[in-house]
Amino acid sequence: MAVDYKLTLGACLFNWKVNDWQDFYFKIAEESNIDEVYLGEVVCYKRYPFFEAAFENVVDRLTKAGKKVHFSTFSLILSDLEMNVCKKLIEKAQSNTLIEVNDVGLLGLLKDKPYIIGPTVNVYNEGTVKTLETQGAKRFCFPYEIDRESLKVISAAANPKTEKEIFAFGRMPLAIAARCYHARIHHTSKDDCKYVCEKDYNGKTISTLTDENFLTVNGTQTMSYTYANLISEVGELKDMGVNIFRISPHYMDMLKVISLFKDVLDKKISGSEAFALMQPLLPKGDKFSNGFYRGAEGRTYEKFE
Amino acid sequence: MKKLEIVCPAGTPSALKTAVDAGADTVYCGFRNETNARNFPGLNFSTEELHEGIAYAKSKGSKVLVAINTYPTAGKLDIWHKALVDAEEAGAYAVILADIGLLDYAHKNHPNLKRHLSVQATASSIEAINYFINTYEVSRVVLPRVLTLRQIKQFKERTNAEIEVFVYGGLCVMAEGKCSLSSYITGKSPNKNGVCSPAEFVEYEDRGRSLVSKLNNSVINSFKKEESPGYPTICKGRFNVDDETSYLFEEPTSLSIIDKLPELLEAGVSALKIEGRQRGKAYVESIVKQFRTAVDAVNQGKPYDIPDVEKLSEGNTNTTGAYVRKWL
Repeated sequence: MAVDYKLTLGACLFNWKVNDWQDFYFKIAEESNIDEVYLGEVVCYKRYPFFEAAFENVVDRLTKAGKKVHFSTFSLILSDLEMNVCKKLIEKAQSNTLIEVNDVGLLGLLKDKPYIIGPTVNVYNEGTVKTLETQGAKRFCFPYEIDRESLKVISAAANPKTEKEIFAFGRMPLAIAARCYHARIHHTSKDDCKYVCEKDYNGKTISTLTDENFLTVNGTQTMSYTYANLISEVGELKDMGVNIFRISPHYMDMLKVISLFKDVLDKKISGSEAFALMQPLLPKGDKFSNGFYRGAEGRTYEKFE
Repeated sequence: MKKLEIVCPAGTPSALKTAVDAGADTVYCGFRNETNARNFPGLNFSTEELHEGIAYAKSKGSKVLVAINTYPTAGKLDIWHKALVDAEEAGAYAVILADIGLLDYAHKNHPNLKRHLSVQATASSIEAINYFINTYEVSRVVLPRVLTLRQIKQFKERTNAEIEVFVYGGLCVMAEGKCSLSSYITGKSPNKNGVCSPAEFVEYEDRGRSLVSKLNNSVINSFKKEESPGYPTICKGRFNVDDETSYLFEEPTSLSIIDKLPELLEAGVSALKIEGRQRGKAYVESIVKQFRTAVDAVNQGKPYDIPDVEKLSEGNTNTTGAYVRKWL
């Protein structure tokens, strides 16, 4: 049977130390079944210089291993500091490397080049998909909060050649700010942050006054406490034409997560079997969710029949 | 000489009249449905009320903007398209839009209806501003509240677009248009539904010595008897991190940069937006009058007394937010 899907690895959203970051991607290159890898800093421009030196090596290793690489960009562009990093990546992108646009500021710069629309560009309907198709968008990874009914309508209306991708695994970025909350946790400011976000490889969990785990702080980004997990829904997503599944890197056994997705997509095991096998991979006590997909609160999980 | 324009909120027809009478140059409002980002019960305008409101505003020399600034639901674009038709027929001076598909549609189908870019579109860089101007011919851009005054000044040096900034009222701490905190907890979001931390999910619970505020069963804050209990917006809540309890994102406070009006004029800002379509007539009247007095002075190059606007604010305190870099 011809393979009718792709597995992608989203850009690492956390501030891992550069050696760990590089080792992770080398392992992905050599040992994973992932088809495509997004690389780049999405959250904070202050983190980028650390990765820059290792970037070429990682691209090289992934490419040699047969993985297609795309470049991800910042999800909030506020200044020339951020914009110049993006411009460099646009220049660097080869013909089969696409830029993932995560802020509308890049749309005007990419006029003549094909690109991928990332999950923090607001694409909620078929009108926006059609407009951006005419401007160069080849693939859409839909917003974290998109629901199943919207996906059905959009998929049916999109150009059949347009690729449709969904964020299928990982903590979801819910908000981005100019202010850095990781710095605030450590009683300092963004300008003087001392890179405190590098202490928390899966982000820093915050809880309510009654100790309910609530959200996760990752620098200027606020993420879900729960991990999105659509492994039980991949079949129906594929049926509606959404057949690229994005897995977001976390500090856990990602090779196992990737292979479980692959097994379900290849129909070797069922979604519920894979879901049960995934639970022990999460850090203790952490939870999965699929609420946004069901059109409900994003933090909830309910099996969909 | 360039002058600052005051853009005031009107959640109801009577608030529109109040704002116009208090000296608003421009009033913004929305239809009573999911097409606008203040889709709260008891607020907003029917098409008939909009016609009447615009007639009243025009008779006093004021302009009316219609916010159609949520992201249309897939398969229901006709609701948003109808809002454009209704706004144009009612004689709106401009519509305030955020969705790329809707901007494209309006540009092609309502070329004579002016388009302003909503704060919900998160145009936070000069490149973003110019993309919307060049592609959809928007005439004005409302900036997200994530920029410093210095950055705003640099924008104006690199674009011809009119720049509108928020000067007063409720403060989004996160970049507007890029926040799903509300839907993560309640299922309803500003982008999709035009609401944030909606009232139907809010509960206050008296626990004797304290009053606890909850959003969809999660505790957002706890107040001692002497504290005034704020609304449980997620980004203004009190949370625990390790052993410490704090207002991690922001305190229950409001934005005010009424003391920075000359700097805004000098930075090339065209219009000053006051937040608060969900607020009552008394708020609108008081805040508009105070801005009118201050702006009249600034527009004539004269000094002005900075009014005490804190008592109108959420939590009775104000912040300059990201406009002043030390906040970051």
